Amino acid sequence: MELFINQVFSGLVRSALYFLVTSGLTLLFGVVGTLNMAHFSLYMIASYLTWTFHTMLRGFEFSFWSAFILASAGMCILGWIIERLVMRHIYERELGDQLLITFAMVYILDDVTKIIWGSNPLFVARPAILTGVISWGGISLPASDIFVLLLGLVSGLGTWYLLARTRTGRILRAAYSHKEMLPALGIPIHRIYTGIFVLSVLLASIAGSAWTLMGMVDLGQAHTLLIEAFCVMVIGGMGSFVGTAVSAVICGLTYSFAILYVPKIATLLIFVLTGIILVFRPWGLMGTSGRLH
Amino acid sequence: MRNRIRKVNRALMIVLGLFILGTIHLSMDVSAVMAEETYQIGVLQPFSGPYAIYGEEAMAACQVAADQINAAGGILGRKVVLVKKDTKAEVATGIRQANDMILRDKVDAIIGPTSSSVLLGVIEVTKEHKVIHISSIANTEKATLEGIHPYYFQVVPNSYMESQAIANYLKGVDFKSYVPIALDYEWGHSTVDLLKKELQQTKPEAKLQAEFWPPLKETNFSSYITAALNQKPDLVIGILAGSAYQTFIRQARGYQFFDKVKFLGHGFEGDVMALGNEFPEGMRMYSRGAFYAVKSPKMDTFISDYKKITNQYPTCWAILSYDSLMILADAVKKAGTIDRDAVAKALESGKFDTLRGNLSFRDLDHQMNSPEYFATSYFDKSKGFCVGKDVVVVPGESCFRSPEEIKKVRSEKNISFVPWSAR
Repeated sequence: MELFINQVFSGLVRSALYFLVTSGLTLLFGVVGTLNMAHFSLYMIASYLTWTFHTMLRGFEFSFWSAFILASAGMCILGWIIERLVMRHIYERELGDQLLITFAMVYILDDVTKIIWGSNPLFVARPAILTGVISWGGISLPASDIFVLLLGLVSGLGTWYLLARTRTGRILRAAYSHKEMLPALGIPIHRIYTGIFVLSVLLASIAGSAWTLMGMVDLGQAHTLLIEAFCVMVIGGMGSFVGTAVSAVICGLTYSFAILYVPKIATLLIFVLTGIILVFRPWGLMGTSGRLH
Repeated sequence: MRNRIRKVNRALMIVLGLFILGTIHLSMDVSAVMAEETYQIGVLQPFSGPYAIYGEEAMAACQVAADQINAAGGILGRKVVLVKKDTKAEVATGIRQANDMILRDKVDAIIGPTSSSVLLGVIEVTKEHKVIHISSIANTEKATLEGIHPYYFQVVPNSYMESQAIANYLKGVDFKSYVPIALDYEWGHSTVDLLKKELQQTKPEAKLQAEFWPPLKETNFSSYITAALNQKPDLVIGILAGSAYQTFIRQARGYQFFDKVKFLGHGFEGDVMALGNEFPEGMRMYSRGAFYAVKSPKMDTFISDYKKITNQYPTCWAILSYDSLMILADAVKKAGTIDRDAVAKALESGKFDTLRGNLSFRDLDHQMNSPEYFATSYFDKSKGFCVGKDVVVVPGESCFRSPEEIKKVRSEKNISFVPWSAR
């Protein structure tokens, strides 16, 4: 039983990270129809910003939590600048152009990151409350991983509530499905797009800050997740927020149990799953031609 | 409109003028340098991308060596000049930069690179141009076994020697079952394969319970950690490196991994320093050149000079790179000339006083008998990171692949290599 729970837990932590990283990308694609390849670089920069603020606030009691909030605020500002300078000029362009331009941004952001922070992997010390383990019924789980799992849940539920249960959410969904109607109702579409882009960057920022609790802040951290994250998006359905959540759980658990039973093909299984979905259900488990759910 | 065109033309002329002035200035600089007799050494390492840290450390160590040599009058009266080129840890870039160093910069020797795949590309270039080439970081055995040429020398213990050293060390460790967790690429597989083979012979009672192969770019090891713990082995052997290793350590600590099982992993100082007090105490670790394991005035001077440049303690990469350049300088002095054949002969036959003791190259494969250092980690408050105690040094000679095996492999693959000593 302990074996099972441990493996489920580690799989769910993996799912939470998948979801945190991909949810912003899904949101942007679902509403605006833009695939931002630089999303993963923004996730990486958020980790570096968290490290910077954490280092600046060293000795202060709530240094990690303050760094978390300051990094989120900093990333929102960076997101707003990028949206004004680049993204708003490519929303109407072909997907190929969008990929090319955002891919160029990956290189620019990565090089700027290296110039600012150097190439040494950095690490953020966990706050005292997250350094220990939480034991329950003979099972001990790392507090930091539990926090990341909860963060994934809260972010997911929060964003889902915003999209599905609020007026803002209805407007956001309408921005994709009835784009022409919004200006007629006096709702400026560009502001909606700016808001969505900043929200997607905020989600990347939360993922980046959460990552500092688990691993090293590193120039390669974004690239390592890229392919798996796209698999999660494809399986869930491009642009489907709920689909991404479901897919993240499927991929995380599949990977975790594959490591236990068939470790040599654990990674392969995710790609096989993606291949099967692409052949038999190209729009993904819960996607409908990129429409946001 | 005409005014605008005139303005653009004027701006272009100014840019062109500046460019020409810059070119003249540069060529004057180069002429000034060339006027003085120099010995040019190419430092071919990654200086951008995720592996840049290794390149920067190697460069800093080579700079320390060059400064020390130049302060003592240079090599045969020639000033040592370092030529730095970035491989970006890419095979094609490494090959291009090696060619560039040799043909344009006219380097006398090359030290590098970091990645084994780049090394296997670059070694072909140095073979073609008959340029002295020393590898201080990249350690694939393929280089000394198959890629070998008369001008190539390997200071870093090769992958075979490292696996053998681990197996030798484990003979003295008490365990009945083990689980390897290794990165899923050439280094991980060759190390684990050899370890399994050796342990079957030297420790037949040790049972292999499972093996885990996280992909090279894995960042989340939680599932591997829980799966390994669920096997309840006595010992887990980690063949992991770089930030993946650091991440593994952090995540494993969360699961109290190091309290539950014995763990043997590398103690490459860059990773240990980066983790500070998060690196576990009491962990068995190995290194290719641990600064804390060697007590000598020479090492103290190197540490002090290296810290002046980098403000940090040297890693094994730095120690091996410093040794490589010093060995090269010593060989040139012994040869009494910079002639490449003479220097290569001096390298092959000489004994060298390195930071890690008196070492030499085996003529059969030009592999240095570099030792491997094993120790148990403890936190050193004054340094702010873990270092090792109870150091066990496994000599390089005890880890060499046997000459018979080497001859067999070369004969099967139709590889011919005649050492200088047999010519």
